[in-house]
Amino acid sequence: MNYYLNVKNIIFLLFIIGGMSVFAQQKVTGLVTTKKGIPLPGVSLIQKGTSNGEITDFDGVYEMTLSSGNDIIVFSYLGFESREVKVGSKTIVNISLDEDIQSLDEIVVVGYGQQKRSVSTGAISSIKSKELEDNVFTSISETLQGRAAGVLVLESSGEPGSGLNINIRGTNSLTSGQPLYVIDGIPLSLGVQAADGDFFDTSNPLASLNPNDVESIEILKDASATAIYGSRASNGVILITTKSAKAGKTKVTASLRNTVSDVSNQMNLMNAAQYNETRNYFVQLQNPDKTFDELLASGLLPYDGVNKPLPEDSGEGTDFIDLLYRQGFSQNYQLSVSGGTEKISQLLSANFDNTEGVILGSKMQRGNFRYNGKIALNDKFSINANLQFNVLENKRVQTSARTGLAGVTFLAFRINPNTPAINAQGDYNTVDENGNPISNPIVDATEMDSSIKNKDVIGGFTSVYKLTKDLNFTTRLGLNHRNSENIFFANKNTSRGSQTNGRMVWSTSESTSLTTEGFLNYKKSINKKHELDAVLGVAYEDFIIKRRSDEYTDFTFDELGREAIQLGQRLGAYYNSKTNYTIQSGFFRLSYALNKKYIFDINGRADGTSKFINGKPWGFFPSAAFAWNANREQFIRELGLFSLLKFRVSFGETGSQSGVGPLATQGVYALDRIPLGDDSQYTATFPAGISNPDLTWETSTTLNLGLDMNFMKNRFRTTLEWYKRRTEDLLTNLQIPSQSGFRTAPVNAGIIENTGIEVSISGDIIRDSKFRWSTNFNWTRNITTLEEIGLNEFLDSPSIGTNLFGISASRTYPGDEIGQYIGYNVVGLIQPDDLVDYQNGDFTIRNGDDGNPLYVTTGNGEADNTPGMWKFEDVNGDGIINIEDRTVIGNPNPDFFFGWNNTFSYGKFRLSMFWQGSFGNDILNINKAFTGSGWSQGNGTEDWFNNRWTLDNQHNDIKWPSTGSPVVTSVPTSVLVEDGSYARLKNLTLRYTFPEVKGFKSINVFLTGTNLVTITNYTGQDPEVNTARNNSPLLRGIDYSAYPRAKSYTLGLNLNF
Amino acid sequence: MKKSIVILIVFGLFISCNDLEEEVYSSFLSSNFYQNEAQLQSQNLGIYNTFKHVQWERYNYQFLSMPGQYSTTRLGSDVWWKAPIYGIHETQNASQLNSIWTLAYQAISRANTVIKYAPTSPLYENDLELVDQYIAEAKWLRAYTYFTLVQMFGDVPLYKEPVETPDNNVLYRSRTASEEIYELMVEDLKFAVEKLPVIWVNTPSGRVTKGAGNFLLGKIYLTMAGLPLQKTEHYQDAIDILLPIANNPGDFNLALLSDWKSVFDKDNEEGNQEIIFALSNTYESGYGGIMPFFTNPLKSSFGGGNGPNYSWAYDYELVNLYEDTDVRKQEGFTFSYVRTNNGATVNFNPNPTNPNGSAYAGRNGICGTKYLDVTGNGNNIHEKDVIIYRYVDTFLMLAEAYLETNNPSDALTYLNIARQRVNASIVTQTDQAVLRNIVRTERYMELYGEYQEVFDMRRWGTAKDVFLSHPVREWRASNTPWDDKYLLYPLPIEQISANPNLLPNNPGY
Repeated sequence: MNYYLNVKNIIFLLFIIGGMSVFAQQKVTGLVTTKKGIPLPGVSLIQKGTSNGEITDFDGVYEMTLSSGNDIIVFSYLGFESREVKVGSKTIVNISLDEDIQSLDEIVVVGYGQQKRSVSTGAISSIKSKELEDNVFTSISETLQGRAAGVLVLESSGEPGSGLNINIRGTNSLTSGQPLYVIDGIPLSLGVQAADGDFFDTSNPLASLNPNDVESIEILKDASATAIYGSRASNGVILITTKSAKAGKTKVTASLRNTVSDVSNQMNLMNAAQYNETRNYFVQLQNPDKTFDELLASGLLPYDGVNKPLPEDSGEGTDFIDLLYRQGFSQNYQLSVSGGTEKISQLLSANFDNTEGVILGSKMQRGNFRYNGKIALNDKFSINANLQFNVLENKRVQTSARTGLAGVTFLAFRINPNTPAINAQGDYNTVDENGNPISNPIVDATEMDSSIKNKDVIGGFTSVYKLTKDLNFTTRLGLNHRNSENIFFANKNTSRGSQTNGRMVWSTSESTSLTTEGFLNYKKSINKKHELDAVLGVAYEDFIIKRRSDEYTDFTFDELGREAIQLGQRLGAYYNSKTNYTIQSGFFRLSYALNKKYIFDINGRADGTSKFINGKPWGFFPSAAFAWNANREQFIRELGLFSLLKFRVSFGETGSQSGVGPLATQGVYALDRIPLGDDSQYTATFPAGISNPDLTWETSTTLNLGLDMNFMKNRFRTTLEWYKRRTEDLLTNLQIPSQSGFRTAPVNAGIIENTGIEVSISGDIIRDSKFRWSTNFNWTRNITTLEEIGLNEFLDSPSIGTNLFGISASRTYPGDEIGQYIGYNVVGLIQPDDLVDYQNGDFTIRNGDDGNPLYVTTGNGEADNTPGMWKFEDVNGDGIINIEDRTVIGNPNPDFFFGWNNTFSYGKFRLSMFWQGSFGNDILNINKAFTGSGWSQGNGTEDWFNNRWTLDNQHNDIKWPSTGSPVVTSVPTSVLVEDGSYARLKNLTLRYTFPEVKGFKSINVFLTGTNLVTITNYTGQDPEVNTARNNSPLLRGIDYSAYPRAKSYTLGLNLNF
Repeated sequence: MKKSIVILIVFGLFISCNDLEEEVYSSFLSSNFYQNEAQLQSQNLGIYNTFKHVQWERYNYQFLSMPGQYSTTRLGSDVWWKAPIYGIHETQNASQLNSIWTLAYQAISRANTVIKYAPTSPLYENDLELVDQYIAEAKWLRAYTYFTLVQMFGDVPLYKEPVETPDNNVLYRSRTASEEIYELMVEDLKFAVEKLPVIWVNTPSGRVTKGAGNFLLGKIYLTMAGLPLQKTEHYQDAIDILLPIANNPGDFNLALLSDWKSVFDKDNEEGNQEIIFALSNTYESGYGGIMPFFTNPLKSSFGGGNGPNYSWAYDYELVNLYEDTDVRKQEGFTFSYVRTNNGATVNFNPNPTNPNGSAYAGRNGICGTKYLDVTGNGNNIHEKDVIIYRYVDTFLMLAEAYLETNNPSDALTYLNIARQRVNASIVTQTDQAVLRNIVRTERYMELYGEYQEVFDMRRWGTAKDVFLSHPVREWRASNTPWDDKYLLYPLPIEQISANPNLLPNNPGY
């Protein structure tokens, strides 16, 4: 194992640490307790009038160095009254805090500003860095999973950097439905990645970011919160705030972490002898009138002891799954340094992550560097600069099937176990038992070199000018630049490279988005009675995307791989393209609170997009909201029950333009080539697609009702939300019949409705003692219904695969939940008695009492009528099974999903436990078409071998057919649909803090287990799977050769200086 | 304060100065693209571009040649073995049918675009003859594509104009009677016969010319005269339109090559006067052919790469049909080859005992020589062009048309032109029934593996006989009975699913 906590990294850390000098100024220490004398950890201290801050440790003890100026320290803690203490010349200040029901007023980040939670009207979930620190995350996307009600995170598979779908309150769009991410005020332009033609699933657009940099994440869900981001807010907005510089003594935090991981649920497949027996047995089943010896003599049996061994002489064969999976390993190093004065403060953060996945050859490395500087030029003018540079290199192993038959996990499931892994020459074997070329998953995993490399620069420059005491003017320049490179090299041994003497595809993309914004913020409080908060601004965004790709084949030597394209003798499939689009916007917010009791909020945004330049480019998205802090009413107070009782209602519109690309309103000709008789190439042009000059914004209208209730002095906190969102004019490249000459057309068509309930409950169940327990639970139910889809009768998903299952897996009729699987309903297994004279080879179906055949087939004669094969439901009763008989066989949408986090602490120990789950969702397990029926001579599971229908084991259990019917080739069946409900212990962390170690402020060590326990009935590798194509919301919960998710153990160390 | 307001104003101006505009960088705007001949040409080549991908040549072979009387395959394990009896499952391999359908309509759409917009060219007024050449070429390609569709699927949706905006009445059109589509083909080809040039001066060969107009119109008349339309008056139309190219090939830049095998030589594609229409390939991924991979023996040098796949071959009965003097017998089949991996010489063994799946023997079939590409280096990047229409067919079509119009002596004249070239004996038989059999057999002997078999048997009404005696069926699925539905392929399920207006499907499906 390549274990490297390498020397270079340690030296780097030591250098940084050693280079620091510590300035001794006035130092204050002390203990913070409740009135009852119980120490309070995590109390925040601010030197008044500065940004110099500290926090108490586990024993409630703090140590603070005061900078020059004010000598007042402000102590504040959630649920307690803040206190200001003048230090004077004291060096020890012990204080106690009063519990206060009014103080629960955290600051939440909202669009173009911040608000106190108490005067916010929107449905906003917040995730604070503190909640995340006990977990091991490799990506920001993971921090969202299960943490907030209404947020459904679907990762394609367990692959490092695997594809991602985040749905906030369901699917609001037919294309991607992804939220808008705004990092420190700058919209992230995501998803522009160099073409990865050899991969089925996309990779995670958030994978480049460093999760350790997150200070807080706010998820804006209703129109009140999102309308100010109007144009792209239909699917919700995720505001990511990174940790920022703080004035004060230089602080250094270093953390190290090592993880080992294993595939938790490995498939158990047939060995060679078992496989060969099934192959022979199927021929016997089809020829009941011949004896085994007759079959042997006729050459009909594949394993006849002549050309190939008899089953009993075949032995174990090769267990490819065992060869393909390995122990994964990863390391993460994080270093951050911050400090400075009130005038200039700075923060540096660096992170390096190296993950070797559980499949041979899979490896991801990420490096992050971030700088935050704050400069106050004078009392009025301040500047905040955020700059991050992220590098990601992901060496991917092709897993999820690209063409339906590729992908190493799929190959390992299907491959004939008689195939030796290594040939006589000691090389990886690339031919089958007949000498025909095959794809060996071990070769494809180890000898195909596919690397995505992204270099991101995200820069934001914000200046705030205080025009008056109440009025600020903010300008912001944001740059978002990504260079992405995807180099795929397959040498001559691999399935992709053997055909072309080596094959290399070199794709690059460059995307740049530039944001400029200017806005005025007005905050005024009159007599503490009227509070006014207003924002008015304009914004302009410009996106440029360039792509290029070349293919090189016919390599004279392939040993140098990707480093020597000059060895490739042929260049082909070359193209490049450049597109751009722009968005112009104006936005406003007006919020008014009366006595902190009644809050009114209106906000909105007008957007124009160049994408609809020939259509209707402008859209206006307003919202209005009202909130009532009822606990401030005397009659509620007198109940003595609520520490917070707040009712919220909001209504408004948001839009989306992401459903189509640029040029959708213009008729353009695409470019290609064609060889003629002399084999040189000539330019060929043709219409690129159907254009639609009528395109306009997709618009969502949301009604949100919210209720916040806190009890027992905020010790128990609940939030309930109900919402209904109707999205009209769905913008999509609708699949159209290809008789038009095209496969899709850009249209505004259809209506989707989302209705849901969200429940969040948190509480400090045990506190005020040495043992503490706090819990945090969220639960979401969302129903997405298709109301109409233009003039179409139904909405089909894209096809699942290409060669196999080249058919859409879901079809949604108006009025139904979106994305339901359709396919054949299997109703039983064919029994010998169903046939006229099976023993003598007459496979004709017997007629029942009504004079009709006992069951219906696809009309394929004996190949359809072998005993033990599936019988299908003839849905339309026309006497033949064909696609008209497809019916709903499953629903991938969960009835509900939840997250549940618990933190227990005792002294210096802390244990946190995070459960997450989903209930009532189905999975379409495509792998099972092979592994559960031996169809198309794929290998199957040992379970299938033991339970399958045979003449000696006749039954009618559709899970165990004698073999798969040919119809499974292209049409899913109900047998492939399984209940995908699960509950999973995502995270279990035990942390111990060493409080007093010389030279350190604190040290803590932790041990984390990830995915330790999974409770599920799903028979595939992992119920958390979503290997659909194109990120389509119409194809959910499909398991098609997914990269298995690992169970892992992490040991980590955090050092604070 | 004043300063700040200035900043605000400047900032606001900066934002508002950026107009909403959409730049077009990597494509051409369709509104003004027919300015000169080069642009007209690239639009026409865009139609050919539809067929560049290996799907068209591969799946057409499977659906059009594999069901032929002597086609066979060694692969029991592969779904391909079912190819000869495709049509059995409407759900089986529909994705291949769907590919053909989708590509065909893509070609039709591109042709329709040219036919609609070429007249908007400023050249249309100055050089009508030139623009008409391009329109004629587009019409020829549209006719070829509809002809393929109609013979495979029967009635199909008819589009004479490009679909440019999403109008549901147009997108979800139902099927049009094939008679009406044949009328469009005839009309298109009459235009093509008149307007197409004898050669294209700006590009090398590989595009259809005037002779191709006569050829395809003759073929369409012959087909209309046969089943299922049986408009027998068109036999005479076929004769009339084919005679000029049969009797005066020089006027059309056509010729029968004296060396039969050289017709199929990969290095004899440019200027090969026997080729009427071929799918052009070159050695580049995405632009290369795949037939050499599928049609040659394992580990032979004939298909490049790892060696061919030996999927598609011919029953030895085919070889037995030829006279010994016939050059096609000697040169049309691979009797022997040298394995590239071990240098061993492999001879085809017609009568093996119990061959395994990869032996070059017996029912696995003998390979033909029409798709050799020794320099090919990948499965799907061969330079070998795939010939769809070949001049020699003119004589075979004339023989058939004369025979069916009760003129055996003229039928013999043209049949023997084709036979003389390959050193086969002169046929003198004049009994119509006997001669009909000879003409039909001759078509198979000359054109096997050239995408004609299914259309021939459907036109003749012999599909059932061929099905019942097909070697692959006899070996793999002997109990599968004939069903009249096999006279047409089912509409692809993906299409029916996307457009229920296509229902009902063809009879029996």
